[in-house]
Amino acid sequence: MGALSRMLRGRLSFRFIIMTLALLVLIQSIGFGVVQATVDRYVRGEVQHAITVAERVWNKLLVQNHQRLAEGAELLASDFGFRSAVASRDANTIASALQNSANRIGASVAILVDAQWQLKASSEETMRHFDNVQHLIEALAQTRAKEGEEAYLTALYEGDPTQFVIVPVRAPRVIGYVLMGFAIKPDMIAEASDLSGVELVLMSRSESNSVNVVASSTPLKEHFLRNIPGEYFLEDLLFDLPINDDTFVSMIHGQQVVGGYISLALMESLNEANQQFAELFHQYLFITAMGLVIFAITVTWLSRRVARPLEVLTHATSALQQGDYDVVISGTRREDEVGLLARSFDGMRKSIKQQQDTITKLAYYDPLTGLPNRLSFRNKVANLMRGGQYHSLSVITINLDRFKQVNDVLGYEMGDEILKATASRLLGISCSAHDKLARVSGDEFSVLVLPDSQPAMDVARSLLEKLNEPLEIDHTLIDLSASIGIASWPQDAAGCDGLINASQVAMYAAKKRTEDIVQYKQELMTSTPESLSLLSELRQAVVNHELRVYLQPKVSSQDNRVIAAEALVRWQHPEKGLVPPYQFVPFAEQTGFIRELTKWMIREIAAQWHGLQKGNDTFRVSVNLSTRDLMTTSFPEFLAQTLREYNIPASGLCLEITESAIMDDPSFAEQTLAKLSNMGFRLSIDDFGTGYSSLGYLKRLPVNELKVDQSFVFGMIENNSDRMIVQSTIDLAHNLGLDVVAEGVETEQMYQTLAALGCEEVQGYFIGKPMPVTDFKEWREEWNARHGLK
Amino acid sequence: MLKYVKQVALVMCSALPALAWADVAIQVTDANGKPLADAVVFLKSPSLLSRSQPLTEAEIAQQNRTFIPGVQVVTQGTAVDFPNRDDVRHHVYSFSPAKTFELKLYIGKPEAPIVFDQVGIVELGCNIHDSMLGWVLVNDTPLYGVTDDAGVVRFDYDQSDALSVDIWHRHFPYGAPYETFELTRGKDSSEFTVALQTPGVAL
Repeated sequence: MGALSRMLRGRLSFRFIIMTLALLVLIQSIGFGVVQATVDRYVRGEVQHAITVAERVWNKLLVQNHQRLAEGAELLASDFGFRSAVASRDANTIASALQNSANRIGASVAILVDAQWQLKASSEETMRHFDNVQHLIEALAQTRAKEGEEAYLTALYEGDPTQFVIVPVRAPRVIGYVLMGFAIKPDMIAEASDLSGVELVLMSRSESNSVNVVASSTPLKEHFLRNIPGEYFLEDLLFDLPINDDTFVSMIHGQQVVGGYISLALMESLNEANQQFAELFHQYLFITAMGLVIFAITVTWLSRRVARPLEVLTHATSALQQGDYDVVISGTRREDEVGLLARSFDGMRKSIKQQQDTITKLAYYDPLTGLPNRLSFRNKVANLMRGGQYHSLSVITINLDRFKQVNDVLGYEMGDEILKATASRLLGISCSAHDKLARVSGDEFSVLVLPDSQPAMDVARSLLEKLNEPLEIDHTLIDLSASIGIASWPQDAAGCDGLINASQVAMYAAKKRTEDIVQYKQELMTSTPESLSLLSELRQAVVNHELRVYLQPKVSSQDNRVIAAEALVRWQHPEKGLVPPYQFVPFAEQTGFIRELTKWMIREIAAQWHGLQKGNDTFRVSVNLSTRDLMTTSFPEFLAQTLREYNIPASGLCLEITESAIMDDPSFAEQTLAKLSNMGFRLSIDDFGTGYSSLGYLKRLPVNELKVDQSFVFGMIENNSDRMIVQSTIDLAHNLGLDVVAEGVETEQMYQTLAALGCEEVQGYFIGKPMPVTDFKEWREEWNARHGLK
Repeated sequence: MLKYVKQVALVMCSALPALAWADVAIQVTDANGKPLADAVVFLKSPSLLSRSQPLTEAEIAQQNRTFIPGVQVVTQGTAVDFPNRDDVRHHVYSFSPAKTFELKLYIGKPEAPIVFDQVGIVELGCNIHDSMLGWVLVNDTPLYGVTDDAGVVRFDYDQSDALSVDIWHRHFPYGAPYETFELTRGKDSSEFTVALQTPGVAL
């Protein structure tokens, strides 16, 4: 049962078949029931009708018999010979005459009585001696007197139901009566049964309780001989009588007659009556069975047509669920609803597959260039590392220089075009084919170099060479340059993320140093995961006062006066000792901690500013601002507040900003610079000449001085062109109304040259190296003493 | 019925003119004492019996499918003719023990009359026509009468010998004999009442 209900729930086709067949069986059963009931009613009606007819037939037979008997008896009684015999008063003669007459008309008994109903003679000689014959005669006489001369008289004579007629014997007046009895014989019952088609049983019980049964069929006779309920003789009954596996609709008329009781049963077999319908039922059953078979086959076929494709679709669904989007869906060519479902299902499959591909592509490929993205590249590198096929790998990271400016100036569409062109260019080189190249971020590409190809440096060079070719987009020639970093596994990093990071660090280093290609070195690593601990240590350093302010003096080239100093940060690490700035400043720059450093620096300087003042002139202290400081909206307010707190004039501080810091977001930088300038700060462009800012652009900025990068100052003595650059820079600056500061002055000659070129201030090891504040004060005393200053 | 009575009376008057003087009166009643008309009363005494002779002429004709007269009273030994005055044949018979006979299908006058030689009641019928009914009352006394509506019949009889009466009525059933009463006369009394006991005579 449980299995069946599971199948019913689980299998649509099975349910289909069962339900349909059950429905058919139900309908057929109802039909069968209705037909059966109708037939039953009809049969019963027919049977009752037949019984009624039989009853009439029987009565008619009795009447006919009675009439025949009466006529015969009358004929006999009026026969002169018979009357003569009667008149002879010779008992033997009369008896023989009665016998003869009885034989002539087939009566079972003939009795002569006188006018006073006294027995005179009988056809059966012996009967004379029986008292009950006289009794019978008197009873018949009474009945006749009561019911008239034409009365139909029935009596039990010798135990047999017997029809009696009484006719007078006239001579010419009634001299007596002849009683003639006609025993109801089996053949009369048989005749009535034949005429009416109904079984007849005539039962009788005499006063002496002897029972007699005359029946049209032996089984019925036997049945009634066994037992006849008393009420059969007393009442009229209509009921179903079961006899031997058959049921008879039975109508029973019981009556008291002379000499006892008789009962007539008219019976019709229901089985027999049903016989004619049995064939109908057989046909019905046959049709039902055939219908069931045909239905079962048809429904099975149909449900297979419906459910099988559904099962196939179900399998296809689970295949889809498991990510198999190439599963074949059958039934799509069918024209019915199933076909429709299959088609839309297949459509869904295709659509999902497409979306899946798109998602995969989006996840692993860069939609703009069609190149694998960072994630994809990372996975590839990781797989190769894990695969064990290679024991070393290199990753080259390429970053387009000044791409932001290109975007700003030429528009993003052009930027996209450039990226696409760059991608196709990089793809054009065999060693950076599609499976090795990836666009890892906006303007950054990475190339995987396997040990079986060229050395990474050679690959990098050829890439650079390719990139350096002018690019023509929309009839515009664009010069591109790129910074390239190279890192190798396993020497530079242990994992794929480390390797990629390392190559990026190298690339940043290259960009910073304006070198084309930088091979990763351990020292470059400032933002590797290891440096996260550096960040917390740096935070600790601020709290624990491990940071120190060092000052490098700036001297006026005109009169050797120490007029300013550049404040530089140094970290006195409790374990590592003095940590050089390049080991933590770029890191602080990257993490944004530089803002904290700047603030610390400014507060530190502010605290010491008054102590540094000497003489009448304001001693300026320069502080380096990072691009992040410029981008922080609250920074000018912080400056103002600090100055107020320490009561320092804005002119007491010079804020040095690198060219690149400005160029990151020139418009915002411009706003901040304008604000700071308005506040009265002296502004200085640091590292001038390394960036791409034109003097024309600088002109718009509210700056007060330029700091010529030390790289120019270094080469100025030997290299004429460097000297020209310095010369023209100084001239231009002066023309723009800016002071010029030269850094990296290491010799007397440099100092003199710069002075000759009109450079206002100089800074460098020739003057003095960066030193703690107390040392600086001592140095200043010494310097002033040496140059005869106060 | 009345017709038959008149005929009987006619016969009596013609046959017994000497008995014109009345002396004996007899009232006939049924068993309940109700006067019975049309009863035939035969007066019998030794003197009367000794005077009895067969009648010389007597007949019962069949006319219009009827016996005429319906009741014929004759003395013992009288021969009676049965002339057929219809144009159909009759088959006259009697099963009565006093005289059993049959006159088979005949027309006109049968060959011989029937002699009624026994006292008794002879009931006549026709085998062809069941409705025909007649009686021949045979007795050994010549004196008889029919009761009037009061059930009374009178006889002129001056003898003083022992008297008895035989009485018949048409309601007597078949086979019933005459009902006989002995009349015991007082000195002056000559009036008698008899009650018939034979079943079937009550009116």
